Amino acid sequence: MDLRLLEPRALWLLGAALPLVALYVLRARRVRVRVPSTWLWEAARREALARRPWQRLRPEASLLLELLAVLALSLAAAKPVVRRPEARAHVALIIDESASMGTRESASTRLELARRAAEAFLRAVPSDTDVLVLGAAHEARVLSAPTRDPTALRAALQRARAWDVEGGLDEALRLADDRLRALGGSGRIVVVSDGAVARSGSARPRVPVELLRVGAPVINVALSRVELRAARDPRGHDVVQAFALVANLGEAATTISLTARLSPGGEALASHTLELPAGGRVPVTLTFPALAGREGLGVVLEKTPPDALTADDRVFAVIPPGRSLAVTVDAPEEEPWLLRALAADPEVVVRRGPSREAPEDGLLFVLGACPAAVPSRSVVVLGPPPGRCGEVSVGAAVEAPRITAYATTDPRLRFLTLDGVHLVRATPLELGPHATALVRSDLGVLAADASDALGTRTVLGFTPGESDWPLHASFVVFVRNTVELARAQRARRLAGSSRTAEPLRVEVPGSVTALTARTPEGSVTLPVVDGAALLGETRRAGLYALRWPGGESLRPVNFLSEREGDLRGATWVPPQGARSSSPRGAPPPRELPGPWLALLAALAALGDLLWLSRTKRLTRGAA
Amino acid sequence: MSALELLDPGFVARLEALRRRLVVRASAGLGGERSSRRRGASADFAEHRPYSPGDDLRRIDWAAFARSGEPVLKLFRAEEDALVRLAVDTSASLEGPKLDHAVRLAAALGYLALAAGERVQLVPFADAPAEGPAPSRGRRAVPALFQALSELTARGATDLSRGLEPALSARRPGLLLVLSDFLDRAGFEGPLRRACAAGHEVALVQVLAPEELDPALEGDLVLEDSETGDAVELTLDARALAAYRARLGALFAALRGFARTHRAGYVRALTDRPLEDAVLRVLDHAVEEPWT
Repeated sequence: MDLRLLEPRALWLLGAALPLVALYVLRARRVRVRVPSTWLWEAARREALARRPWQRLRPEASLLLELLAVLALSLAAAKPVVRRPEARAHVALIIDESASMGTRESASTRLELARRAAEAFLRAVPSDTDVLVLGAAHEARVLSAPTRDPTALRAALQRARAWDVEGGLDEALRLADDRLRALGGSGRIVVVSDGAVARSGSARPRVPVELLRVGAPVINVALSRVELRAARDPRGHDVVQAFALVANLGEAATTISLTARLSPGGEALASHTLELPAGGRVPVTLTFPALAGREGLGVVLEKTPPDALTADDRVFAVIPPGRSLAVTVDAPEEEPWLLRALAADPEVVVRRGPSREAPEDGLLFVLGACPAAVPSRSVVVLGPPPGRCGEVSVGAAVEAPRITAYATTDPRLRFLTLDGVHLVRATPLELGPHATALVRSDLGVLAADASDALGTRTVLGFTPGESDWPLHASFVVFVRNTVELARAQRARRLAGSSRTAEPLRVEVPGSVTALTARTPEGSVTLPVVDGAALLGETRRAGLYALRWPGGESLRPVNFLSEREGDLRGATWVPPQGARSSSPRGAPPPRELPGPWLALLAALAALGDLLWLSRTKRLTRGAA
Repeated sequence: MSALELLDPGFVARLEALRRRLVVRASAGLGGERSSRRRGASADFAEHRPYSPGDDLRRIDWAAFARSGEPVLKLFRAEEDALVRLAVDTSASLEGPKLDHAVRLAAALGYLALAAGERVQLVPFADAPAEGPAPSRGRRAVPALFQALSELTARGATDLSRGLEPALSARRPGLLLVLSDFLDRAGFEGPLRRACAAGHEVALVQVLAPEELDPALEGDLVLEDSETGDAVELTLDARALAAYRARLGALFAALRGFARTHRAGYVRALTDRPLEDAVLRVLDHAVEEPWT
C-alpha cells in the first residue's frame, strides 16, 4: 500500500507530545489521602523505593491515551492518502525494432521518429504512472522495467535498435499483457511502429492496445533471395553462379544495378543492370570465374542505387567449391575396379598416394588399412585388418558371407541393389556405440557407417577384389554416391547460408571446446558442446567469421523479407475487442478519512477522561 | 458521639443484657468475674455493698442481711481501692468511627464495672494526660461516665507514656484498660511495661477500622498523617500493600507478644464488629490469635 501525506507539515503537531510527557514526568499527580498514621506506610515506601527507584517512570494509561490522541490528530491534519496497488495505472510501451524501422525518412529514420513519438507520449503520461518499455523485433525484449523515472525511460528508448530482422509484435504483446497483469491495476499497451509488420499475429491482450504510427509510405526495392553455386561454363571452365531475386515494392518501374564483390577486398566479380516493373520480381544471375583459392571467400551482392531501406539492399554469400573433387586412393596395390568406377565421374580428380597427403575437403579411399588420423573429412575404408577401426572392431575373416540386408535409405546405398552380389571372403564388423550397420550378412555386419564429428567414415569389411561386386552396376553407383556425399558435405562446410534471427549452428572437431565468432555486432566466444557451437543472436546481416584452433569458417547471414521491405503502408492493426480495464489515467488516490482519525483522537481523549475520573479506591475519611 | 447516644435506652438495654450474660456465665462456672492477681491486703472491714448475682456467697454479711433484709457484701480495705481505669486514646488517629467505637467500648466496660460495684475512672489521653472525671462507683455513676465519654474528641498526637502518666504513677494499681490503636511511633511497650511493673492488671483493646487491615487504596498517593500532618508520597501497588500489611502484622505480633509475656489481655476490636464480642473477650482476658 502506497501511503503519502498531503500536508506533511501538519506533523509538527506531534511536537505536542513532548510537553505532555514532560508534564507527566515532572508534575506530581498524586491524590492526597488522610490516614490515621503514616507510620506503617513509611516502611512500605522505603521498601518500594529500594526495589524500584524508577517507579516514577511507570507507564501511565492516561499518558498513553493522550499521546494516542495527539498522534491521531496529527495524522488527520497531515491528510494521509493511500493508493492500493490495484488502483495504479501502468503502461507498456512497445517499440518496433524490425528492419523496416531503419527506413530513412528525410534526415531521420523511422526508429528515430518512433523515439520522438514515444518521448512525447511519456511526457503526457501522469507522473505517477509506471511505464514498461519493450522492444519488438523477431522476439521481444525488455528495454526497461516498470518505472516512472523519466531519465530511465529516455535511456530505454535510446537502447532500441532497428535490427535486420522481420518484425512480429505478438511476442511483445503477450509479454506486455503478462507483465501488466502481474502489476495489477489498470493498464494499456501502446505500440510505436510503422505498422510494416511481417508476421501478423494472434495475440489478444486483455488490455487496450493503441498504435502510435510513424513513417510515411515509401518505395523500396529489396533483394529477397540469394544463392551461389559452382558450375561449368560451356567451355568446361569452373564458374560460380550467383542467383538473386529482386523485388520492386513500389508503384513505378525502376532500374537498378546488382554487383557482386569479394568481401573483404571489394573486388568486383560481376555486375548486371536490370529494369524492374512496378511490383515485379525479377531473378538475376551473375556469373564469375571460380578461380582457385577463392573457395570459401565472402561475396556481397549489392543493389545500387540504395533506397530508403538499406537493410535489404545487400545480401551475403560464400564462394562454393568447384565441382571437381580430389579423390585419393591409398592402396598397396592398384585397384582397377575402384579406379574405373571413379573415372566414370569427369569431375573427379583421382590420384594415388598415402592417406596423410589427402586433401581435407577431398575423398579418401583406404584399402587394407585403417589409418588413425587422416586429413580428409570423407573416408572410405575397405578391407581393414582385424582390430579397432574407429567406431568399429574388425573381426576374423569369414568365408562366403551371404548379404541379407542393406540400408537402402543411406545416401551411399541409394539407387542400388546388392542382390546377387557374392563375397568370397570378408571380415565382420562389430559396431561401436556410434556406428550403424549399412550391410548385414548371415555372418555379421559387413559394412558400417562410422562417422564422427570430423567427417564421414565408411568401413567395408571386404575389398572389391574379394567379391564380384565390381561386376555389378551397383558398385559404380556406390562409388558415385560416395563421391556426391563428399561433395555435399564439402559444400555444407564451406557455404551454409542462414537468415537473420535464426540461430547459427557450427560443427567443429570434437577436440575443440570453444570458438570465436566475429559478427557485424562484434566478437563473441562460444562454447562448444558435443562438437557444435550455437550463436543465438543473428540480428545483423553480414558475413560471420568463425575461428577455432585448427580451423575456420565463413557463414553468410542474410535479411531476406519482402513483407518487411514493403513500406508502402501499415499492415499491422492493433487487436480489436480488447477489454477496456478502466478509464484512462490512474484513479485518484484514496484519502484516508480524516474524520475517522479525528474520531479516534476524540475517543482516546474520552477514554483518558474516563480513566482520570474513575473512582479510585480510597479509605473513608480521606481528603 | 453525644451522651444521648450512649444513654440511649437501647444501648443501655444492650449493656444490661450483656451484664446478665456475664452473670449467667459466672453462675455456670464459666467465669465472668475477672480473676485478679491481687488479693485484699487488708482484713479491715471497709464497707458494705449490695449483693450482685455472681458475687461470692461466702462474702455476704448475713448479719446485715438479717437486719436489712437486703443481701450485702463486706468489702475490705484492699478491695475498696481496686479501680478500673478506662484509658481511652483520644489522639487524632482515632478520629471518626474509631473514637466512636472506643467510646462505646469504654462505655460498655465502664457500665459493667459500675454495675458490678467496681470503681471506674475515665482516663482520656493523647500526647498528654487529659483531665477526666474522678473515680466513681455504682450505677449512679453511669450517666456521668457516659457524659464524660461523649465529650471526648480526637485530636493531637499519640504519646502513651505521657498520656498514661497519671495511671502509671497512681498509688494503688488496678485494672488498666487501654483503648487505643497503638499507632505510636514511640512504641507502646515502655509505658505498658511500667504499668505492669506498677502492679496494674493491663488489658489492651486495639481499636481499628477494617480498612486499616485491608486498605483499599491504589495509584499515586500522598498519605497525610492525621496526627502530625506529615505527608508520605507513595505509589500504592500490591507490593506496597504487602509491605504495609507486613508492618501491621508485626505490630499485632508485638502486642500479642507483650500480652502473653505480661499476662495482659489483648483484644483487637474492629469498628465493624459487634461491640459485645470485643467486650466479652476483654472480660475473658483473651489474647488475640496471630493475624494472618
